[in-house]
Amino acid sequence: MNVRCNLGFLKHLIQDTFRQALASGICWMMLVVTAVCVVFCLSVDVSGDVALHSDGEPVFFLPSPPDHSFVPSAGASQQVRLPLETDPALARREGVETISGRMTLAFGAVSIPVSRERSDAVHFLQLILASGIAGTCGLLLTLVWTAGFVPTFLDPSAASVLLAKPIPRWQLLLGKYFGVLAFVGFQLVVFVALTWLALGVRTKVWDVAYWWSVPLLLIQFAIFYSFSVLLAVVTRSTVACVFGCILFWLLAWGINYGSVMARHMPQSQYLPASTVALAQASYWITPKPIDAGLILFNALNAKEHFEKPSVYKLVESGPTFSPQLSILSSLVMTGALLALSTHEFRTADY
Amino acid sequence: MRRGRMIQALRGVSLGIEPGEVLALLGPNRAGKTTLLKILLGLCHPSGGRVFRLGRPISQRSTLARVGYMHENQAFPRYLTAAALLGFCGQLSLVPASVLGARVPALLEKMGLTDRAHEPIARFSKGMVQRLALAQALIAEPDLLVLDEPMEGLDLGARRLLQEIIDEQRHAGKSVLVVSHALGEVAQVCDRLAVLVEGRLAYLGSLSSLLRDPDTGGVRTLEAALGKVYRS
Repeated sequence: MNVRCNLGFLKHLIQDTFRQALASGICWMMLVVTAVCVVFCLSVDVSGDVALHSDGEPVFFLPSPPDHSFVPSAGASQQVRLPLETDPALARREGVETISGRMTLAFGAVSIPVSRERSDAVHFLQLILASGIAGTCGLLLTLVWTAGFVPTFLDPSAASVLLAKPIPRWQLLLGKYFGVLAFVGFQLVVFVALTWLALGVRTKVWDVAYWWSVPLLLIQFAIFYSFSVLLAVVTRSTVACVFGCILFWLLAWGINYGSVMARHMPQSQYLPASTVALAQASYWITPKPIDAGLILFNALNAKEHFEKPSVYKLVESGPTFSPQLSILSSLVMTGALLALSTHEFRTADY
Repeated sequence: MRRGRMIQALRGVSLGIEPGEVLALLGPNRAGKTTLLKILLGLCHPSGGRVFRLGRPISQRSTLARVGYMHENQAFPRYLTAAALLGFCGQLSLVPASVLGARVPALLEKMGLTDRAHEPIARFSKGMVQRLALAQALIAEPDLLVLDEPMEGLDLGARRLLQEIIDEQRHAGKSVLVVSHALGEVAQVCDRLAVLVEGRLAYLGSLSSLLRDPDTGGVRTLEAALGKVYRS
């Protein structure tokens, strides 16, 4: 088979996945989730913020005052704690410059004080959208919604005719896998593009770093979906794929978290060496959602606006942590799962 | 072998099909007909023996490009249109796109599906799905056409069409393997009969010699003769 034939075949499988997603309503459900997020972004407004630095000046993390209050300098012996946002005039008289900006959500229904730059508020929303909505809820929902694609494709009454064609079975399986990836990639691009545009239009903050979420989240999905493909080949059951994938996701979280703790907790020195070695081995051969979250956090430049969550700090402080190695080892595991799936599919009787 | 369970579905079966011949493979349920078919099509892997497809070992999948297969209970993706399905099957059979452009409408017309070409298969009746299944089997103009229970769900007109297509294949020097459990369905179209019973080849020969066969006791009807073969 020549390259042109292979590409035409892959194109058809991608088209087939889009048709399947349209017919099953999954495409529309994902677009509805995107539309809700876009409306949310369009409902955002930021006002009264102040630039804390000029263009080109490096940005440093400024910790928020504890419990959002300040202590007036006068009368040090008689400390009066006043809420910062309740009386800025008093603060100004005391020589403290306060910023009384506000970010409103849901078309003004929710108002949040912004004591820093508007780009901080926008980055915060982008981090929530990329990491929380798309990276956690979206990833899980997409894994569940697309879990039936491969089992349906491999159903004997549907697949027999396809398998009786000269195309090698591994190409059929990988074609379908990449078809699903193309569909999810399309949905991710739509989500990121529309939310980026909506936030940009409303806040005039256009940060292209947000676009890093497309490849990073797609890689995460590809890693977990390869396990779903293996389950589909072995069981040909959508239910097994749904529950298996969720369990695998939870297991990956557990292993990733456990391996970080095994390295850094003070009590870890009392752990047997074999346990620590097992945790490290498990870390390298399973997906790493916490690492992926940290990589996304860094890619979005969120560290310039917010304090890094403690678990991310722990991961980063590890002697062996490398974003490239983390992604590469997860991709190697994906390749191994796909190789196992194709082998099982090639030797299966229909 | 199926999920760790070993099933001996076929034993000592030896038969072949000549070019321009229509061979009917008959037998009661669980006789091994479908297994034989699946081995021929590369859907199942035999644990022993030698199987050749169009003169080549079955491990050479390239010969599948010259084989057309109509499944017994075909479940096509319901969201595909008839034209899209035929295009996809043609692509899988390595038919050039330029050829497919003309062949797909021609086949749809032959099967009486031209006016439904761009409708999703979900809206098709069982008979229409069967006709579509036959069309996809013919998309690569195969040298070997394998039909598994092809008469199921077909109305009289479609049965006549199927008989015409089988005749066309025979006259074009191509081989046809028809699998059925009912002799009456294939008696008019086949040149030879192969009867499988419990995984063994119980009879291989022409219809006329089946009726003359001393083992069948000179019975007058085909069904009675076949019943004798089943019991032998």
